[in-house]
Amino acid sequence: MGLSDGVVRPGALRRTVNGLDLDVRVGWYRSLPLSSVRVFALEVDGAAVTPTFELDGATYTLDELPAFHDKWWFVQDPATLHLPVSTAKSAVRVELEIGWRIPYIVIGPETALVQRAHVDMELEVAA
Amino acid sequence: MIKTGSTLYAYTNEWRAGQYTLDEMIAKVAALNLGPGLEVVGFQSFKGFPHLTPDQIRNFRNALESNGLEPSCLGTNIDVALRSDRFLTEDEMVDYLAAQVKVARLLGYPVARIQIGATPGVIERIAPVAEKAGVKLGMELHAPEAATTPAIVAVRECYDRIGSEYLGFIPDFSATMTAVPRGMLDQFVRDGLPASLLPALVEIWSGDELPHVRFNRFAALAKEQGAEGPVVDQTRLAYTMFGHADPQGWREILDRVVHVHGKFYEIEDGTEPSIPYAELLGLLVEGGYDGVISSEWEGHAFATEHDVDAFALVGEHQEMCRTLLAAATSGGGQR
Repeated sequence: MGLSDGVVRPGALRRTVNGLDLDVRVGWYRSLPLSSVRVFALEVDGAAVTPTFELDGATYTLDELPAFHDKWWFVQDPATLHLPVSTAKSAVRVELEIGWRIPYIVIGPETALVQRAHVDMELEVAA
Repeated sequence: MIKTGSTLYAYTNEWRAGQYTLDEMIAKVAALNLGPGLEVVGFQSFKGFPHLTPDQIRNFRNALESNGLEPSCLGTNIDVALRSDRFLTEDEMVDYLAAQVKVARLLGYPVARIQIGATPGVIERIAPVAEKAGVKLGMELHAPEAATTPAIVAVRECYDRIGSEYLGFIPDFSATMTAVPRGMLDQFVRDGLPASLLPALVEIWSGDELPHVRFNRFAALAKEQGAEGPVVDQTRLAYTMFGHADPQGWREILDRVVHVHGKFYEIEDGTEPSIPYAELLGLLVEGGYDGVISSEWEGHAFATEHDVDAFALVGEHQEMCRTLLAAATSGGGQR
């Protein structure tokens, strides 16, 4: 609902030489630091996938993201998840559970709000 | 004379969808006559905020000027949980905010919105920065806080102690609502909440306990009736986003208002069904406020750009405000 809509939009999935690329957008109204990003789960056609994360020309493993509090994910720019998935299908089911720590909304001692988005979409694979 | 204005936050759906660049959105606001005030949230509208290039700053100032718009308020944030390993220290918070106050000046903004994350210690140290920049700081008074809640009373005392004319408040009408917006309730049901629970949700909402206490009470009742998990958890928003403090409480801070967030969700037949605008605008007129009211549509919490044209709705909101302000002005015998 609301800001978690539009995290993955139609046309977001492309085939590459290494697998699939998935464009993902910020599930909040403003830009957030990479340190706030957490990918909880990603499945393609029911199989778990560990992606890498690319933004502004730099690529990160998911484990590296928490350290980058000085790199910003601009709210209008999609990040690209590189999925090591080999498939010849023209469409696949993508399930993504992703969250952002909202760094100015404090909900308890040393605890900030985490905004989560759950994506479950049948996406066409563009060339 | 109170002026209308837009905050680009109202157009969050269109912005996230990438339908407009910043220049295009500013031009659209002007073309639809949704100014003259123009507010932005720094971390929303500018890539690289607060470290903007001279080109970004020049382009923005030119865009406002060439479109006949006036900078009203720059929204800042203190990202205390910026890092994954620890919260920012007070020194870091001051530096973080100071950079945003300085860029507010460069962008031509007379007011910077601050939030409750600015502790008294931070306020004390940022006040001289604001004075030097010539930028007034307005703490946003937003649900679940209000002018008379303990956290804000502490800020008022802090302001009294410092005694700077650069410290003020930004009433946000989310604090003084009379109902939970219909669109929000409909969204809860679309996302799986049994509609039979809505009367209880609303009745508990109107109680006086703290938001989390009321939510817990509703969640317990929902569980008794077989509803739990995400469909109930989502309703926590109703208790935190929408406050129902007495609008007359704004009198306590009227002389320190530096900007106003005209929060709204729906306009039906020329009125906001959940927010008592006639009373609120009457108070502002009576208090002699002469700044900008930003039309701050926040229905993007439950509606997409496919459901609602935010630009059209802001137009309706401003029409309502103009009508009510004219009535309040003539009714109060002021010109």
